[in-house]
Amino acid sequence: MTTPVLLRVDDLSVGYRDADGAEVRLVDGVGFTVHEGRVLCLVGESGSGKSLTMAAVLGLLPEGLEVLSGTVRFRGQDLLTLPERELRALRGNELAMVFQDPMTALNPVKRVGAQIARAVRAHHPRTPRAQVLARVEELLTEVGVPDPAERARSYPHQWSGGMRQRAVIAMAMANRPALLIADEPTTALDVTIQAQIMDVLADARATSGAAMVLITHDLGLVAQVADEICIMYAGRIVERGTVWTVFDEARHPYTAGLLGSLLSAERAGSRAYAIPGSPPAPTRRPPGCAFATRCELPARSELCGTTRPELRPAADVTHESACHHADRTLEFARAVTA
Amino acid sequence: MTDTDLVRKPPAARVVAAAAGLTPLERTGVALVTAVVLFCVVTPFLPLYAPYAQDLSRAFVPPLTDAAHPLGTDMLGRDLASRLALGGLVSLGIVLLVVVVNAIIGMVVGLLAGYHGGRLDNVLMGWADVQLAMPVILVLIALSAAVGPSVWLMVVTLAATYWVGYARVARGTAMTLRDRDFVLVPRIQGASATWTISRHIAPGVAVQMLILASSDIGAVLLLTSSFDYLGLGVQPPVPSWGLLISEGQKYIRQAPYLSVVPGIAIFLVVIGTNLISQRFTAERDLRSARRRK
Amino acid sequence: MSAVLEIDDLHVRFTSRRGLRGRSVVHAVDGVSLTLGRGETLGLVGESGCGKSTLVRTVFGLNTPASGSVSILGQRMQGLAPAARRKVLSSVQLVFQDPYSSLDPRMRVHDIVAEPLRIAGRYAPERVVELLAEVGLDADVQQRRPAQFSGGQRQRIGIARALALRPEILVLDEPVSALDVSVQAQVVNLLMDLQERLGLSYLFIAHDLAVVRHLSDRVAVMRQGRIVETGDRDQIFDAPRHPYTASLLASIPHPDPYLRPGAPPRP
Repeated sequence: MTTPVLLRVDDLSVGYRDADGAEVRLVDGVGFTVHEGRVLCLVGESGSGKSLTMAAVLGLLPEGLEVLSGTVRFRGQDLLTLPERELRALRGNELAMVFQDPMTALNPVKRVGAQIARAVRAHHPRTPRAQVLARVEELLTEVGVPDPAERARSYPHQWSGGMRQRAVIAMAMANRPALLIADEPTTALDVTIQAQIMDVLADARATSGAAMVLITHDLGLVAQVADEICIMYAGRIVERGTVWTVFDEARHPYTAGLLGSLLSAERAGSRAYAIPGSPPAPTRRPPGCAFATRCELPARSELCGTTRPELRPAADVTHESACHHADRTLEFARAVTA
Repeated sequence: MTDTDLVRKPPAARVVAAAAGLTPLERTGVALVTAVVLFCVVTPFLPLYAPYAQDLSRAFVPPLTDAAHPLGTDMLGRDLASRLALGGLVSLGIVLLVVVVNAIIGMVVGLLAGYHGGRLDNVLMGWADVQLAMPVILVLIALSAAVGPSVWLMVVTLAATYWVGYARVARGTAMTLRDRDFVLVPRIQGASATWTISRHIAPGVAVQMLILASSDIGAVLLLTSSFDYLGLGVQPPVPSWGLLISEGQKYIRQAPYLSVVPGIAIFLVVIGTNLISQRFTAERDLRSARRRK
Repeated sequence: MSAVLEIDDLHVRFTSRRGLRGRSVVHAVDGVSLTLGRGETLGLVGESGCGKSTLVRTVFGLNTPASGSVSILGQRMQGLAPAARRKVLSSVQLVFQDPYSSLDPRMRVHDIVAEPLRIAGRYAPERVVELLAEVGLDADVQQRRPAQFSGGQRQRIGIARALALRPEILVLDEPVSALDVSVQAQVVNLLMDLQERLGLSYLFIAHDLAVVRHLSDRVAVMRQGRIVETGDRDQIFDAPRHPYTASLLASIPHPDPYLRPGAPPRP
């Protein structure tokens, strides 16, 4: 059932050095693997480091931030030491990206068709014009853009938000990537459009067989598409496992709290569980477990405030948790989701 | 133009923060301006200060040859250091007056136009466009011909025309701030326009006016000095830097320092203020670059 | 149940100039009627551009309706003198979506919460402390500025400000959609507590149907300026009559992997 490893990230830390030269880690020792054709979801709230992790993988860190430690291997090739030119060749070819705001990927003064054509040509510069045009139309049809030949000649501002995101997906799929990285691809869109875009992504993956890393905070989305999940909190992975076990048997009180705070039909009109407080700033993370100050697990202990828990197998090797009391979380999870 | 970074800090804190980490070039700018201003302010308290005292027997003393006249004397034997200091106070005073009046008029017009919008906006900004289309020099020459040249005529003419740039910026910021949620709150509560503008919009605009004014000082100094030079501004015997240059120009062969020294003073202030104001414009460019990502 | 807010056949139109002669009229709100009962929560659901923002602005008198009326506490707002109108409007307050743009970054928390009191000429420093306590904030936050707070705390400050004039109605414009998941539940619970304690009526505008279902007694679905369906919460969610409502419901991803197509049976 397992397919070959496509992307392997080990002990990745991202951050900056402050005025005194001390490291501030926004992403701290993150590791995961993505298998060919599978979907990994990085789940976390803003500031959890989920987007920075993938930005580091792609070599697209914002200025001022650097990789402080770790390795990133794509098909065995270390991306962090790869020369910029080769990395760029990889991005948009085998590695493709879709971001929250489609306008970051689209040039407002160029026709949409021309931009997709450029993506097609980027890695196969000698493709004849007619063939490129045909491919552009084919791609737009695949992502469900009606009347593709006509629409390809218009400009991004003439497209709606959902249609733009389709165009971006078409661009991303232009060279049949092996891995698609999607950072909150539907967050800015209306609910009905969100569902459509997720369908388009699923179809695109089905035709190309691409694996996907989906970065999101939306647990509903995760439940629908994920194979594996990494729950991130304050720059670290706190729980990792398959979608089936994480949703059903949360092994970390943060995951349990998130699931408990979901507002659902069953709990209509009553109070949902609310995790108290808010996440700590990267410069003010406590010495022990970063979640300790917000944790309401009955079994929590002094250890939580002093010693940082490492990610280790909780139930079995495929389900890991960074909680000192991972064996005592199930009851808590049931209580808060009841 | 507006953005949250600009609005977030109170103006005083911004100035302090800006002064803390100056680049060498910016420090040079501050040093130049401070040196010139100090010279103008301190000289009147020195014993040698006598900007109007004539002594024809000691006319055309070159600089650095006589301890009583460190910068020499002019064609009437008046002390050049004294005249340079007084001229500086006059020139810089005029510049400050013109810039401040412009900034205030521009800010008020811009705030009203931007906040209220609609017809008031059309009228005010239409008026601004008309102002912009009138060449200042021609207006000043015409008025001077009609009522006789004077400092006040120049100041009033400049004050009445140069505010348009400030008004444009203030209007833009006011328009974007007007629709921000926190400005909607007092509007919904039925607060008066004065309340809303003075509490929520004007502070953000004021910072921008300050930045704009700082980068305008050099240009206005050059402009007023040229008017003085042309005889359209400050009238003798009161000195100003522009006037000193024009007086000295008649003797440019035998006493070039008479024009060169005030010229250097103007140059130093223009260079100095430009170096300082570059900081603000650079900061703004950086921010907009960051926003675009 | 007596109505605290009644919107009756409201039409709001915008004219935009096109070229030199042409004009196009946009019917932003096209014959909307809604009733909000005392102590009730009415959820208003719709996607972007459906006209809900225009509707809110019209309730607060920021847009003028072409026809129809808004009545608050039995008083018809259209045709009311400005002073009387302001008085009635003080019983309706707004909580914004974005806690970052709804608080003036220059002002201290105390002055932000006190602003409605000062405008109404009812300022008392103790009242500010009282309001902050109401939303679960300590009095020592008063001298700080918004930048020092997280999104959830800012939203609490915004709610405290909205409560300043003891309103009867809160219009909640997507109050949790800009917040982190772990904080949303805190704010939703706070809103439920406040409603119980103060007997508030909520007009709750959102696109997140899970939150709407959680909070609302009744739900109205808005599309292209019209209300396409109104009904009790359970009727709307369990037996939607309008196809648009059904398609909205169908597009919510359910947070349970075992409910997805092709899922294995739950062990």
